[in-house]
Amino acid sequence: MEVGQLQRSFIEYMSSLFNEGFLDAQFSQLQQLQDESNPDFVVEVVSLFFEDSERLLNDLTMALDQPNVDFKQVDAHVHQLKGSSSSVGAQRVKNCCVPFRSVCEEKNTEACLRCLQQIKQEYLLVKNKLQTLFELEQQIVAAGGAIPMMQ
Amino acid sequence: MGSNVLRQSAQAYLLLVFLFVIVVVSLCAFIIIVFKAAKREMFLCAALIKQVESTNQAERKSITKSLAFAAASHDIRNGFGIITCLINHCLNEASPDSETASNLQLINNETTSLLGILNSVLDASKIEAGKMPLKVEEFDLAELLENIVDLHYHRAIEKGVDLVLDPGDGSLSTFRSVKGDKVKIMQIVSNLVTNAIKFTSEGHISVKVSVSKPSKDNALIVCNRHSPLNCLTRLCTKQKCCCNTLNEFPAIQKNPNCMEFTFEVDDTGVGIPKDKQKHVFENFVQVKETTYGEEGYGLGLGIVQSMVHLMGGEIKIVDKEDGERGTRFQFNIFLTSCVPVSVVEAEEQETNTQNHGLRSYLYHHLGLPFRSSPSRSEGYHVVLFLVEEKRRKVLSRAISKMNIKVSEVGKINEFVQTLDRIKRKLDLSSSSLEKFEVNLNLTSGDTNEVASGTKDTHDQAIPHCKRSNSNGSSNFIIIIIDSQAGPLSELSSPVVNFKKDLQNLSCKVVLLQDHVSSSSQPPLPPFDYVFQKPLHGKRLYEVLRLLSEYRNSSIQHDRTKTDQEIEFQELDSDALPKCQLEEIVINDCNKRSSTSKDFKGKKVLVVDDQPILRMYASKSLQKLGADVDVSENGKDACDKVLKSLKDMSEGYDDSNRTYDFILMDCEMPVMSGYEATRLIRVEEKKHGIHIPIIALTAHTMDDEMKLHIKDAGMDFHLTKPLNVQQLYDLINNIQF
Repeated sequence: MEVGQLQRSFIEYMSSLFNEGFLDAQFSQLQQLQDESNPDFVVEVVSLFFEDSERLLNDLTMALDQPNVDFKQVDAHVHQLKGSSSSVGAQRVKNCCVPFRSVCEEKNTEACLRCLQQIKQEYLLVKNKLQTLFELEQQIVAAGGAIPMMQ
Repeated sequence: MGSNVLRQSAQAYLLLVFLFVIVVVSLCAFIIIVFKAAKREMFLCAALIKQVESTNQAERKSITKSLAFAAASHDIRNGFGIITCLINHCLNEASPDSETASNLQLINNETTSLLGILNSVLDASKIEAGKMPLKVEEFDLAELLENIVDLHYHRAIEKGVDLVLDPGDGSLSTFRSVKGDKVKIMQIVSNLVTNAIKFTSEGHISVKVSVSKPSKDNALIVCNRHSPLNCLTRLCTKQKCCCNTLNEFPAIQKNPNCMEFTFEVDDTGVGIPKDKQKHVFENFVQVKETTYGEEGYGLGLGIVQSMVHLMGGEIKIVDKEDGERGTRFQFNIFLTSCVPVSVVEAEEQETNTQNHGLRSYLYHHLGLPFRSSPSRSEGYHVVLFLVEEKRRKVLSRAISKMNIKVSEVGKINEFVQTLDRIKRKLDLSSSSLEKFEVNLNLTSGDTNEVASGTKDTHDQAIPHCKRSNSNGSSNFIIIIIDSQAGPLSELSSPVVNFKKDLQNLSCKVVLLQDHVSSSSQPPLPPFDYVFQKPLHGKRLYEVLRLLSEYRNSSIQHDRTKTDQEIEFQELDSDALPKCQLEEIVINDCNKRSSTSKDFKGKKVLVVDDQPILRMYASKSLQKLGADVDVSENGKDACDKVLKSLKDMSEGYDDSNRTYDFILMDCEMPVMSGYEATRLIRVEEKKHGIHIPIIALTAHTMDDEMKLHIKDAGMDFHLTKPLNVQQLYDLINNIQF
């Protein structure tokens, strides 16, 4: 595919991510920080986010599996997840964390498990989307073009 | 004798029995009464306990409700934050003049107003709980009022009601710079104005402020608090007086710069029936009979009253003159003036003029020295052609207070007559120009007598020679025309005729329009300027500044200008010459260029347990040129700071500096941000320096959090995720 087409589909894809609420303004802030001295900044941060989130989700699953659930621990994990997702701009993941915290305070295991399920879904979705986005970026670079900046 | 004794003893016996019976009966009665009383008491006790129980329950319910509400509002605010972020994002992408941009701006405004509703409900509960502090800051009260009126103006006009900002006696312009709670005052006035708009369908609404020295009457209220009569009445009526506000009273009064600001919001609407007037200030009460199709929560006036009380004032409904319909709300508050009152008084005595407002405004805001008030003989003249009567009267009063002659016109035929009259006077004065200079000295006595009225009275066809001279040739004329007054062609023809006969006179014509967009074509001649309605405050001063431009330029310049203007009129309207288009443009230059290295050379420490946030913050700062160090937890941060402090004190050169500021996350493992800050502060004392520490937290900034942060020793706070613009502004404020 030629560069122009790739770039157009990149922009379309990116806009759709914003429109559908997968990403928010924070993500564009991240993009603005990327420059020639740090060409892979966004990828680095996002990979960090993936690692971090997977670890947290695992910890959450284990914590909720216990017969005596330690809700404080669960709350702490969710707080962390909320923080990291909001700093990356993963809006839908962050929004899932909010009800999670309130059911945690109510110490409702059932509801917590449901929330966890939802967060996992959202996380997988956003991970997929971001990975697709990065692949598109790589294709553009391989074809010799420049990655268009979203203003 | 024995039978006597027997009889008597029988009687005595009877009496004894009788006595006994009475005693028994009364004892029984007593026991029964006591028993009943005890039963009643038990019943009352049980009822009391039940009552207390249910009150406690209700209180608990309301506490949990407010907690839940606070939590929900946090999330709602989050949601709003997201919406606003996205809207700003879209605004950046849309072209600034397109409909999209203005629509987005309207959405933004709606979001803000929704947030406002949310906040007002929160406020109501806060006020009830007694937790509503006054946030004191310096601001410009006149500008605030202008903004409020501008905000509500279009909505009022849509309903067919004119919203007028009445400068009153001009005292507001002298005391415009004040210290007080800007947000609350804005809320109060906005609330009153929105109510007025809601309940008025024709006529006008006027907002007026006047300033005066606080009267002694209010001081009396304070003294009365302790009088025995007052105590007694309080006891009898079981009223709780607002002791808090009265405590603040003496404090405010003692300040010599404290002035009393009386606000009035007057409308010509449906009015409030006398019996309901007291009730409207109660929470959740709205006068239902007269609200046809109007919604509202009934919260406004209750909150307004509480806020006015907080600022030491009173709000009430004032009776209007007979025959006038509508309502007039009046409230007074006490604010500290930033301009020392004594200075103002001295100046006023010196120059003996009330022109202070215009002069100070022009000097401070527009940078123009308006050397002294123009005396009548200079001959300024303003022709006001406005449709709305109240606005016309208000403006003409305001302008004439500045010693400028005003002619009021309401209809087109009056307009034509007025222009003719002025022309005739000019012809006369121009013919007797030489006499003018001589007569000036002689007729200076007449100036006061003649030019005292604000309305241009109907002169005789040929006015008295002396009189016309003492009136002064109106050298500079501004004609202000409301575009609603009639079709443009009808408006422009008398103006064109007028301008044709100009001689040693300069005339500028200002057209007032509803919407002025930046890319509109320059106005067709003979209109020189286009201003946006409503005409008040800043815009009014801009228009009047045109007069001062005349002053500074010499007469010859004016002559050439007029010649040019006449020339232009003969041109075809399509070939537009360079007509000046003046508009007020508010520049929002808050954006910094992203390539500026403003933090160059600054050493910063970023402390956060989450690697992503650490990376983000440090990258953002590095982009601004700072030298960033990171720490994972409080302990590590503490060690780093302590080490740098030690190095600094031991080093002999300045290269070992400590950190310029620290970004500290609050909740971290091993050692929290609060703990670390406390330790750092202790260490700092030994070296005698103070590093600004900025707290980063994901929680909402309520008062408890703020206290917590202040306790630990942190200086400022920001919410996560880090907003670089906010950080930038904050750091800049620290520097200067």
